[in-house]
Parts: sequence; C-alpha cells; structure tokens
Amino acid sequence: MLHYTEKIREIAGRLLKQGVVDVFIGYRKGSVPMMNNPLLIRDPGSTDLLYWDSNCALNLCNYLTGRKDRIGIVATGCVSRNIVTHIVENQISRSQLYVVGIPCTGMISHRAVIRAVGGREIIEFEEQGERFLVRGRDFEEIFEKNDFLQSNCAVCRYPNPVLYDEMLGERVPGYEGDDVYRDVEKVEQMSSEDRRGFFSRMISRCIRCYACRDACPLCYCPTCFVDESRPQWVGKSIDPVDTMTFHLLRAFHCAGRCTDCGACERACPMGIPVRQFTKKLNKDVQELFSWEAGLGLEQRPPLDVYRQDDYDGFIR
Amino acid sequence: MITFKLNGREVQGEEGEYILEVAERYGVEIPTLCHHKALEPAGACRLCTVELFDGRRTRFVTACNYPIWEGMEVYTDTDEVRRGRKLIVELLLARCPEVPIIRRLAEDYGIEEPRFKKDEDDCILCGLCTRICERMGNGAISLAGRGVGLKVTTPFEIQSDLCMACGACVSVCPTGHIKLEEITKHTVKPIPSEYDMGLRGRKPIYVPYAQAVPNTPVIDRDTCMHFRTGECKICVQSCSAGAIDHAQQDEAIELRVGAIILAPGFQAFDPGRYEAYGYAENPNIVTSMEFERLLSASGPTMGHLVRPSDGKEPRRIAWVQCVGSRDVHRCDNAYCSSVCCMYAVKQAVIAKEHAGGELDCAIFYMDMRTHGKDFERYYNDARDKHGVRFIRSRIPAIETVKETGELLVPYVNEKERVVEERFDLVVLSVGLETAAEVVELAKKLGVQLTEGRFCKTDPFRPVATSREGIFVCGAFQGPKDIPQSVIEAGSAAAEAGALLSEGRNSLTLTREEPQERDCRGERLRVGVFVCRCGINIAGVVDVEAVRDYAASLPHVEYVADNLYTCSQDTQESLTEVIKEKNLNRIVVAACTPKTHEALFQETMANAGLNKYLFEMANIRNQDSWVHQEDPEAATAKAKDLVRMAVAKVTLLEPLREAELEVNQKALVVGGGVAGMTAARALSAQGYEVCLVERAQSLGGQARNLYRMWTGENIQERLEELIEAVQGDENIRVHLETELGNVEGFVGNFRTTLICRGKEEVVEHGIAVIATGAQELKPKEYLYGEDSRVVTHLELDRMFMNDESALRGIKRAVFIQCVGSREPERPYCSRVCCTHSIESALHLKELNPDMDVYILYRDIRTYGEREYLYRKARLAGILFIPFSLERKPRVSLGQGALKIDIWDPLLCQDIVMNSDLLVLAAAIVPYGDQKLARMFKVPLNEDGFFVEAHAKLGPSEFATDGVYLCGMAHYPKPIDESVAQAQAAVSRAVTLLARQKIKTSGTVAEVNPLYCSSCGVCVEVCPYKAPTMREQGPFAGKAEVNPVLCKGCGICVASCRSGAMSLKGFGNDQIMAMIAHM
Amino acid sequence: MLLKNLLEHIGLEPGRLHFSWISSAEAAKFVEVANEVNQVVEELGPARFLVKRKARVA
Repeated sequence: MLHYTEKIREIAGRLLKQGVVDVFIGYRKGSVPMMNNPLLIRDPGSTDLLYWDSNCALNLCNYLTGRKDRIGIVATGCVSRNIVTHIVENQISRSQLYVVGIPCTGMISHRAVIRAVGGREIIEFEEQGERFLVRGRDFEEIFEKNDFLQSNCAVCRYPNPVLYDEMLGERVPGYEGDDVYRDVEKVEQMSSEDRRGFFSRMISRCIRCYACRDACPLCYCPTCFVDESRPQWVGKSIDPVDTMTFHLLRAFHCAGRCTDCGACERACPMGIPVRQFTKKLNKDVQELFSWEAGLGLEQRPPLDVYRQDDYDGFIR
Repeated sequence: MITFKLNGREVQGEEGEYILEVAERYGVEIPTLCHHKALEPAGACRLCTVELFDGRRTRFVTACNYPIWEGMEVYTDTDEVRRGRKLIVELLLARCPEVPIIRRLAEDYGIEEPRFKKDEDDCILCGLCTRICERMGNGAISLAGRGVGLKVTTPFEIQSDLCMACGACVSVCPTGHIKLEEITKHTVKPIPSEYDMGLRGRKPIYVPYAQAVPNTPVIDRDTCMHFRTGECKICVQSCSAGAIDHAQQDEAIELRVGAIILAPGFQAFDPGRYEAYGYAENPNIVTSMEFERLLSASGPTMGHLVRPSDGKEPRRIAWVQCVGSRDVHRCDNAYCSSVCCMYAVKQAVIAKEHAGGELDCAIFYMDMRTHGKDFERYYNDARDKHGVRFIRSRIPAIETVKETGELLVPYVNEKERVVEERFDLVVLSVGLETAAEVVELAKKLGVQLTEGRFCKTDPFRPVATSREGIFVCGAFQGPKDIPQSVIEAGSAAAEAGALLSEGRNSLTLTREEPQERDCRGERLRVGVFVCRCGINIAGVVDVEAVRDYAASLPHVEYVADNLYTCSQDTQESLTEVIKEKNLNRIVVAACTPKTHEALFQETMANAGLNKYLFEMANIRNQDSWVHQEDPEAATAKAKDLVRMAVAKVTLLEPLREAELEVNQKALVVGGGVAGMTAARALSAQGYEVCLVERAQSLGGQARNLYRMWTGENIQERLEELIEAVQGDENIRVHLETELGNVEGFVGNFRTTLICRGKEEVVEHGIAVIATGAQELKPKEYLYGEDSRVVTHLELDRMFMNDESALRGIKRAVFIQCVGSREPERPYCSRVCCTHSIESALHLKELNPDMDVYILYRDIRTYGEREYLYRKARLAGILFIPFSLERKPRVSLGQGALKIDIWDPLLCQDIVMNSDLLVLAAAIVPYGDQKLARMFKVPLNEDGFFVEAHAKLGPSEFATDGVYLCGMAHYPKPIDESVAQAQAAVSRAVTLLARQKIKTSGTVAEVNPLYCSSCGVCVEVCPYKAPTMREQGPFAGKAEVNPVLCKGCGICVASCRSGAMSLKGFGNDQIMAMIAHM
Repeated sequence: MLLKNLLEHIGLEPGRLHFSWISSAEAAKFVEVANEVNQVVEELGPARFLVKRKARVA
C-alpha cells in the first residue's frame, strides 16, 4: 500500500493550495516502527510528512469530532464507515469533508510481528508489495503480509470506502467467507461458567488506562461515564467487577455503531482483545436488526429508533 | 400591663387577671380542683394556695381569685406552700378516700393514709356544678344545708323538672359525684350522632364527620344551651378566632338559574315498622347503615366489630335481605333497591376480614342481585374464598333469646323444612326510599314521580324530569349504586351544560393562587406526615414508630401522624404547619400517588410551596396491604420507604409547568346509541364532532331491539336519534370507517381514519370510546341446530317482522344466563332478566293462552324493573330456578323441543315440551386490543374497557382526554348507555372548556455541557419534544420542549452522554433513594 | 435483548435478568411474573458474578 503515499501527498497539496480544505488529516511515519501517527497539516508545503503503509490502523475519524473548519481526510473502509456514523450523529457535516478514499488491503498486527521475531526489538520496517521486511540489530526477516493481518482486517467485508470524494485506486475485494464471527461463536458455545472465566481472565490484565476508549471514534461524549462522580457509575479501582463493568458499558455504548475498525484493540497496551465485547454486539445487532454500522447516511443505528416490529421475544 | 415576679421570674399580665391565669400562660403549674376557665373563680378548694410577698411580709393567697398587682412577688412551689397544700389534700382524702383524682394528688404529695377519720363521700363541695348550671342560664342545683350538712342538691331533693339534662354539671365535676339521673326528670341520653347512626353521641357544637366539606363545626340549635336559655356562650369565650356568632339567621337566597339538578338522594328504610323483626327492641338487630359504622375505622368502635348490647365480639352474623324492598305487604316499596345484595356481600367479607377466620356470616336472600361490573366475581369470591354462606329464603320473623340476647332466625332450607339458626347479630339490609320531604319538593317543582316515588324519566333522556330544565341524578332517579349515581351526575351536568353552554365562562371567578415562596437556598426543612389510613395502615404498621423514626432522619424538621391525611381538616392543618414551620420539602407516607399525589400537591400550592417539592412513600398498597401477616417487617419496611423518600425529597427542586392549547374538536368512536348520544351531547355544548362507525349505518345493537321494558318503541326513538345526528351540522359522520393510527396526546390527538382503503387524518382534543358489545352466539341448548331455539335479539327481530307466526305457539321457554355467570365468563350480563320478562310478557299479549316459562338462576330485575317481574308473575308466567350445577337439558323429542329441569321447590325433575326456546345469551365485548393500544387504555380479563376508577371515574380512562361509555364498558340497557354517554361528554367538556391545560413539570431536560449532540433523543422521542438548538452558546446541543414532553424518560434512558435527565427523577435523586434503601 | 445477550455472553447465568412489560392495569400478570422471577432466582441461588465485594482491610 506504500504507493498510496505519493498520491496522498499530491492530493493534500492540491486541496490545501486550492483552499478546498483548511486542514488535511493523514498519517506520518511513526518514530517507532509499525506505529504510524496521525498528522494534521495546514501548510501545503509540509505534505512530504504524509505517509501511508500497512501500519495506519489508528482511526482518523477521532480527529473530526466537533471541528468547524473544512477538512480533507484519508479514509479506508472502516474509517469511512465511522465518518458516516459521525455525520449521522451530528458530529461533523458532510459538506465540511473532502474524503480521500483508500481501498485497503488490511493493516498489519504489530504484536503478531513482534511475536514472530521472538520479541526482539525491531528497528526498521519496510513494506514490499505483498510482503514486508523487518530488521533488528542482528536480524532481518521477511513475512507475508496476509499472515500478519489484524484479526478484524482478516475478515473485513468492507475494505473499500463507503463514502469518498476521490478514490486512490481500484477497489479491492472484501472478505467473503461466512465465518466472520467464528471467534464469537466459539465463545458462545462454551458453558456459562467457562465464559465467565474466559472474560474474567481476559480483563484481568486491564490497567484501566482507557486507551481503548480514547482510540475509539464512537467515544466522543464531553464527559465519559467513567469520569462521572455523581453518581459514580463505575468504581475507579482495578477491582475485577469495576473493570468488567467498564468494559461492558463501553461496549454497550458502541452497540449498533461499531465498525470493528480495531483501533481499541490496537491501542491497548496490555494486548487485551477488547473487541470480544463489541463483536458479540455487532453479531447480535446484525442478527436482530439486519444492521451493520456506517453503511448509509439515511438511517440511524438500531438502538436510536423504535419500530413496532422490533424484536421483543425476550419481553414477557 | 402589670409586671410582677413569678417564682423569681419577671412576668406580665393584664389588669384584672388572676395569678392562676398568668401562671398558666407562662407554663407554671398550680394545682386546682375548683377552677374552670369559663367560670368566675370561687377559691373553694384552696389547693391553688401560693405564697405572696408584698415587699414587707409574706402571706398565703389562693391563686385562682387573687388579682395581680404591679411589683408583687409570687412563689408557687415553696416548702411552705407544699406543706399547706399537703394538708388540704390530706383533708380531702379523708373526706373522699375513693375518688381517683384525690388519690392521685395524695400520691403526688406523698400521703399514704390521712391522719383524719375517713368519710365515704365523693363530693368536695367545689361548687363547679352549681356555678356551671348558673352559667347555663339555669338553676336546677345549688349548694344547700350548712356546715357538715352542706351538699349539692335540687330543690326539695327531688328530680327536677327545671333541669334540662344538658349535662354541663357532669362534664365539669372533678370527682364524678354528679349523676344526672338523680337530678333530672328527663331521660338522660347522649345527643345521637347522625353520622354514626346514633351509635354514639355528639356535642351540640360538632363537626359532622372527619371528611366533611366544609370542615367547620356547626351549632345544633335544638340542643345548644344558648339557644335554650340565652346564656352560656362559653364557646364564644374559648374560640380564639372569634368565629362564633349566635345571632346568625337563616337566609333566603334567590338565584336566577338556567337549569336545576335534583340530587336529594334517598333515605334508608326504617325497619322499626317491621314488628316481626323486633328492630326497635333488640340492640343486636342493626340496620346495614348502622353496621357500616360498626365496621368503620372512624366509627364508634374504631372498626372493632362488637355487638351493641354487650360489646362482645359476635361469632355469627346474619344478613336479612329485602327489608323495605320488593315488599308490598309490610310497606309500599314494590321495587328492588338495587344495592343491598352487593353491600351485604361486601359487609360480610369485610366483617370476616376484621374478625379473622372464626366468624360465620350468612346472607338470607331471595335473588342475589350482583349485576354490576365485577360484582359477580366478588360474590363468587365471597362464597368460595371467604366462606360466606348464602341461603335463599325470605325471613318471616326474628326472635330474641332473652337470656343471651341471641337471635333466632327461622328459614326454609333446601329440603323445604323450616329450621332455625342462632345468631349474635342480625343486620337488616334496608332498602332505599324517597323521603317525604323530597316527594313534597317534587310536588312543589311540578316534577312527576313514578309508582315507587322516584323521579319519572324517559329511557332516552334518563336524567330529564317531566319539567323542562329540571334534571335529576342519583337515587332519586331510581335506587342505584355509586358508579351509576356518578354517571348520572355527569349526565345531568351535560344536560344542564347544554342549556347553559352559551353562558359558559361568563360568571367564572379566577382562583387566586397563593404566591409561591421562593425557597431556593433555604436550609432544608422536611415535613414528614405519616398516615394511619383508618386501620388500613395503622392496623399493621406501627405508625407512631415510623413517625418517630422519621423525626430522627437528617433535615426532618417536623413529623406528624394523621388518621386520614387526605381529609379536609388534615389538609388545612398541613397548610398551617407548612407555613408555621416554614417547611420546604414534604413527604407523605400514606397510600398511592396515583390517587392522592395531586391532592397533597394542591395543599402544598395552597401553602405557597412549589408542588414538586413533594414525595410520597406508599406504605399502604406496597406495605401494610401486602404484609398483613408480618407487622414487624411491615413497620421496618415503612421506615425504609420513608427514609428513601426523605433522601429523595431533599434533592428535589421546584419545577415549572408549561401551558398547552386544547384542540376543540372531539372524536367519537362507535355509532350506536352511546356514541350517537355522546356526539349529540358534545354538539349541544357547541363542539364539533367526528363520529366514526365501522358498519354501513348508524344505530349499533339498538337496531335489533324491539321494546323498552317501560314500553317505548325502540326503533322509532332510534330513528329520531339517527336523524338528529345526521341533521346536526356540528357532527361529521364517517361510516364504514375504522381507526388506522392514533398519534399525540390529550388536547392534541391526530387520528388516521381508514374508510374503504382511503386514509384521512383528523385532529381532535378528546376521544370518546363507545364501541359497544355484541350478543353471544350460544354453543349449547341446541342453538344453531334447531330453528326453534333463538336468542333475544332473534326473538326481537321476529317481533318486529312478523308477530303473527308467534301467536300459534303453545308453550315458550326462556333459559337465563346462557354464557353469563359461567366459569369462563364470570360476569352477569345485566340486561337479560328484564329482557326475557319483557319478551315473555309480549308473548302473553300475543296469545294469552300461551304457557310461558322462565328458567333462571337469580332474577335480576333491579330498581323499578321489579314491577315487570311482578307483572309477569301475575300474568301467569312461571319461574323455575336452577343452579349452575343443575342446568336444564334440552333435547329433541317427537317433533318438539324437550326440556328437562330439576325443580327445587317440588324437589323433582320436570320435563316439558316447547315450541319456542329463547336463550338469554350473554353480552360479550369485542375486546379490541388494537384500539386499546392506540389510545393506551386497558381492557379487563373479560375484554371490557377498564375505567379510571370503578366508582369515582366510571366514564373516563386513566389516560387523559379519552372517555368511555356504553357497552364497551359493561353490558347495560339503553337508558344507562345514554346516561354514560352524557357523563363521558360532561367529563370531556371540563377539559375542552378550559381550552388550555397545564402540562406536568416532570419533564426531561438537557445539561448542554454533557450533551454530545448525537441526536438520539430527537430520534427516539415519540412526542418530538427534543430538538437541536440553533443558536446561542449551546448551539448544536439538544433542548427539550416542555410542552410536548410527557416525561416518559425514554430519552434519558437512551442518552449515552448522561446529558438528559427527568426532572423530579434525576440520577442523584434516584441514587439517593437506592443508597438509602 | 442486546444487553441480555451480552451479559449472558460474558457469563451471567441465564434467568438472572428478566424483562417484562406490565401495565398498571395488569395486576394478575404482575403477580405471575414476580412469582416466576422469584422462583427462577431462588433456584439460581445468591449472585456471585458482578457482585462487588467490600474491600477487605488487613
């Protein structure tokens, strides 16, 4: 995906020069390999800072919330779906946006790569088409990108932007298997007791840093429930019940809105697969309401509306 | 003003006051036996002796009659004083060693036995009695004799005819020496309390009853001593408000009015006329009205059920029905009083609840008439669950067993034998009759009466009297129960309202609302009022303990408990307390806010408090009623509920209410008699109506009916009504139309009508539901298999089409309760008994030789319909009762219908052939769930709509702006449907006429600092109340239009950001309640 | 439904969470539901999951 970099620089320069946008949001190469940073530029002369490869997994939609100026933004499939959700939820207006669409072939899981090199420090990363090369002080290895995709990217059905003003390349095929929710199903088949153990163990590492929340474009409330003290909805300690409550509520606030972009999981410093919560909700929302978030501007998420024919079998 | 020293403290008094008065005012206690505020002091008992220092020396004076002077020093409790008093008490004790008050005093002064020779007197010669007698303007008693012979007596020491038996002397005597019987020639008895049916006494100045409106005392001129002698006037002296004016005279007020409504009610039949029952002789034979007081928590026994003769708890109670009803032998009341069966069942059940399991209750009846809504279920429960015995037998006489005061009730049992049962108490279920004064009044007004001396009316105008402009409602229209009376009251109001509609609002006075106090920023001062609700709460929960507990809670400034917190006088004292203690938050621990919140809130408004600074703890429905078995836990729970309520109320803030326009159009659903009447009544009051009927024509079930029981031709009257509706320019009729959707709320409904696939939207302020009911298609007695088996409506159709075919019939049989009063449909269809008898009589008219049988369970010809029953019996129609267990069997035999029935009178099976079998098929509701959902109104288990309140709100729904009438409510005859339609309209007009309504202050609000502008609230709100602000500092954030908001809270639940909150139910308030749970 | 599924997904015992819609006019239904919930919960026994223990002070 390296080749998108030049095009992004060119478009950004054009948009800023012509005054189509006031600011352009993209990525810059990270100071640490495989960790690209978000970048906002206003000066058409600084477009060289823009960069693109398969490590651009932080969700740029986060930086749109509440902006009043005109913005150019690069968007993959999932980011574009979050932009749609943002527009539907009044966080930004379509007319402010110039969306530069990127057909996405998936992002690399930096954790998987680190595991593959046995935890040795990687000091250089180089993408070479379908492969990529990582170099350390005393080693160098080449991997197939497809073997190291983030787990959400591996089953991504919507790699192409759903909303854009300009596309950077040809559309790419999305995942067509019917096992998108295989991981959720595996958990569902466990006994109630085992599931309880599974999730309790999973979050036992959580340090309540809220990086998952901060990385999530859906989490834009002025005051988050975790920071509220009157009433205190959830305790601030790392008591397992409080931690579970936090994860539950965070996930539930995303119900019907989550695009499974994976930003939360990538942001987690402890490597907790927090998508296990949201993905279960995504699965249920799809089954109950035939809904996937951010595919169109016409409809609001299912939990925002009431219809006579809504599923009510659980109410007696 | 005189200043002097009392026990060293500087005090002040007026010139002419005595020491005792001033001391009392300053809370210094001085004992006395002969002092009374209303009387000049006499210094007779010497007990009030005090020490007086005049600057030079001390001496002893009696405080009661020693006038105060500037600079004196008084000591009330020195050793000297005590020693002196002790001697006085000792002497008194020697004279009256058995008098309790003296013994108590002796104890106080440490005297065990007097040193003097003991006497056996009980008079201390204080002279209070003689002085009060004088004050009463009389002189029946005085102190006579000298020295040791001095005593209180009458002239010549004989019973006096001067004495008026007022009892003042008895009431002031401190020792209990005075016995009125010894003084007076008159019989001594308390003034009977009218409210308590004479079961206890009252005073000449009295408040009629606790909930009286207005709750002001009245003076009974016949017993007040001032009106008898011109003296006394003690009340004037003691009323600090100066409210008493004996000079008031009756005034004649002349009013010019456009309509008159007669609601004089009934009087209970006086069973003293029935000698065979011995009511006048035996106190253990009581009327149902008296028994009602015996059961009441505010009654003479505080709800404790006892026999009047000896105060013992009865173990066996009998009710004797039809006393003064359905009787032309011993009185002239041939009609049925309609209500006695139901009230007897109710009294029996309540008596059993009060007395616990041991009490035996038996009701002796002729026909059990529980034809009201949900009454039949109550009757079944009384019999099956509570074990009340029901015995079908008319009681000829009641005998008293002299020794025990027990009562012997003879009756005929199922085996036709006369047996006798003993009871401790007999309740005579007395009937309703029109009082002689009311008959007089009717004569004066030129209003015609019926045979039973009730007001004569027309079934299609059930509250219009024979004189134009005069209307009637309640028991004077005919004997009836509360729901029907309330319906008629509405109906009469609607009729009168139609006459007066032009003058509407021309004489209205605007109520001045007291200025609301701004209590923001004040220190919290919570008032907690714990209600006893008679024995409803206090019988289970320890109310005093809850009250005292409440006093210990933070911020609670004032606590009280009341017998009935909802009574008028309590409301007034509440207002006073709020003002006096400057309370700014109120908690009432009582019943349900559903019925009483508004009342208490109004009281708060009257006291100048914002009505939302209020919280109710439901310690009745949610506590004492459900935890009757466990008073301790119930008390603990009551404390919990009060603590939660206090926690919440301290966080409440004053709220404002918004105003809303009321659309002046009405929608009536259903074009039967009820619907059409409602439409006409609305039109008559000047409102536009949209009348919707699903059928092709107007008329509803009435189209199938032949004749009223009073003889009117229904079809002719129905045609008139339909023509009137069609010709009414205020009414738009939509035939073949159904409702597709209802949006909006009270004052602003938007309803989609669907007429043959075409949709039309109408806007209206109110809706009347009059969708009716239908006749059951029976599944028994060969119905549908043999053409000779027909239902009522089918027979009526035959009457209307071709009577001649019916003339040839030799024998006709009616079977009652077909599908009614059965386990799967446990209600009475109310109209069928009358209908069958009316049809039977018509058959007899067609062919006087025809044999007509009516097979019945109970004949329920209530009210004056009873005449029809009597007429039928006289016409030779035969009535055979059957029970649910032994229903008649119908089969086909040799060309005729063969009917088998067990005759309990003959004790044998009867088989008869018949050419016509008429089934009194049940009336079944449509049970329209869709309509119920659209208007958010409930259906009961049987499928009838549920009114707001069975007694007080029979023609409206709990949902604002939606009203109810006709058979959709319950089966009823045409006159009752008409009355209810008019009643529904009068309720609706009270809303429409206001033109604006205030919405609740309990609405959602947005904290813009928390709002993330996501718009979920805008999307989820069914009333479209939230919108996004377009300008201002918070542009883009949500805001709520309080007029549109109904306070449902859906936005609050949906708001992820926590920006939405429901006023009065804020997070902090609810969390506080949870935290204090 | 989503909440119920999610809670049960992460290990809340089925039967611990009930939803019902009972209007103020449906007394009979209220009793029925209350009894049923009561019975189910009694069978489940005391809740352990998602119950915060009070901090123990050493």
